Amino acid sequence: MMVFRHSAATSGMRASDQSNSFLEVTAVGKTFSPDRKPVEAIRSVNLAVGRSEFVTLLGPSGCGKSTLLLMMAGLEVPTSGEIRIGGTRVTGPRADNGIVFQDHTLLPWKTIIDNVLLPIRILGLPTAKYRQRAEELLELVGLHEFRDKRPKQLSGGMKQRAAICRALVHDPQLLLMDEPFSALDAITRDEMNIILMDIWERYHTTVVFVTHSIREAVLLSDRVIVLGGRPATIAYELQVPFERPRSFALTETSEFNQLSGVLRSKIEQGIGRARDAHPPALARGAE
Amino acid sequence: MNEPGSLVGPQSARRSFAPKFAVALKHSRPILLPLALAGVALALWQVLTAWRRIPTVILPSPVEVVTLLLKIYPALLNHGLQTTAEIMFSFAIGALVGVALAVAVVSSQWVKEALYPNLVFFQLIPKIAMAPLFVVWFGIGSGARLAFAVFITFFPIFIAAADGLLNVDPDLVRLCRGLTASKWQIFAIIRFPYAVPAIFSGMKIGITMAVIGVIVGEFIVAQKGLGYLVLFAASQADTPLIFASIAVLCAIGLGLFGVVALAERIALKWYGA
Repeated sequence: MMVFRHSAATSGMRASDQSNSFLEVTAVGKTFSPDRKPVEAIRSVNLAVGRSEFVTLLGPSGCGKSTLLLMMAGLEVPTSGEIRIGGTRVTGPRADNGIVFQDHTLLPWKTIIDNVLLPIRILGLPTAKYRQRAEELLELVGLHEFRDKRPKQLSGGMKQRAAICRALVHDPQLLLMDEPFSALDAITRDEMNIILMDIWERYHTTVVFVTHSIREAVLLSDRVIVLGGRPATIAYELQVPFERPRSFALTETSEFNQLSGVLRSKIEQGIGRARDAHPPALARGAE
Repeated sequence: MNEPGSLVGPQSARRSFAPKFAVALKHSRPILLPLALAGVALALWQVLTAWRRIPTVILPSPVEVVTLLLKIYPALLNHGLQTTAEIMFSFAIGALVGVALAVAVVSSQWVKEALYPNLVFFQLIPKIAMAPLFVVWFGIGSGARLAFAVFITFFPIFIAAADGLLNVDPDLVRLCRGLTASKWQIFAIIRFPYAVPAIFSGMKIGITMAVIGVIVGEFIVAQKGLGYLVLFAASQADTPLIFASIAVLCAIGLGLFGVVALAERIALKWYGA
């Protein structure tokens, strides 16, 4: 344990970035009330993400990490607290966000390049000006020769690569990724992790990444935030000490596996806490 | 026998026997088989009417019908053109009204909640029974026929279009909203193109409804058209003329359906489904 605390402190560059943080989540809570009985999903989350930082929200399915991401995207409104991006309070969607969901959501009637240019069209920016950037992104993810193909002619991994290009085409300040690789097979997923690291090395975009894969979290991130409990709170924070650029060989090292082990036990504790707080038989009576 | 050579021998010999014919037969089977069955049915019909000496007024033979058809085809064409024009007109208006109403329904939560269940309920009413009402409302001119045909055409198109517009991938809508897209942008860029296949499947039902609508309209009030001709022939006990009229009507219905199906194919090719 001490080892990790120590290494967190020595990878100081990123830690110091947080002082002039780009994304600030302050005492954010979210309660859903679809019926008469409200459900508190998230309680008082505080989080600061520095510019160019890659932060992962890690936790079991349905723990509220996607909700937190949607609030950052301005697609859900926090019930309490506030979120600021670059100093301004988030009150709705922002043009300088890029979003990738689990499903690629490419338009079947458009070519790959036109799909990538969709945000440009929505934002009313000059397409001609951004076409070069779109092609550059496709080149970077190895899709350049498929630029004029339709989505159905591409494999699942290729479609998700195109979706990442689409999220980055308007040069967003913040890239929000909601389990972007969960629907892919394990081999394609590894491939996508490498591509995403390449992209990050190239553009140094600030990324908030949601996943339930511990390996993915440790491999990609500067910092991992473990969410857990009901309502979800931050159960643990881990600064990932590994140098960049990283390669897949990193996942074979004992340090990597140690960190993964720590995260795994923290997630399990979070699940345990949730169970203790709401024993199934008593859950209703307790409220 | 267990040697590989002995197995390959007869197989390759058979393959070289008539491979092209076999492949051609396999590919054309979905077309040839139903055609052959229809041909057999017609032949049986012909044989039965001749053999059992069935009176023409009860069931004319296919040959009698075709003979009459060839003899009076200018008159049939004349009536057929009137009917075709009315079908096309009511289909066009019905499609326009159906899609427009679907757009209105999905554009507002209030309109959707108020209108949609009522329209779906309305779908269950046997609308043919309402045809005489249209004569009461629109008089005995072509207005009543067209209004009734539009009325029964727009329904399936409306339902299909509304379904298509509502069933857009919610993640895609969320992605666009996340990029500050307006409601109108989401409609124009995402919703409407997404609904195109659904709209076309609604239009395929719509065109057959337009045929039914116009014919029922012509039954009730008309001085011209194939529906009128069928009724007129029935009053004269001219059964071959009834069959000839129906045959022309079938050809028109098939042709119009074919045009819509072709348009659908082109649209789906663009859509890339």
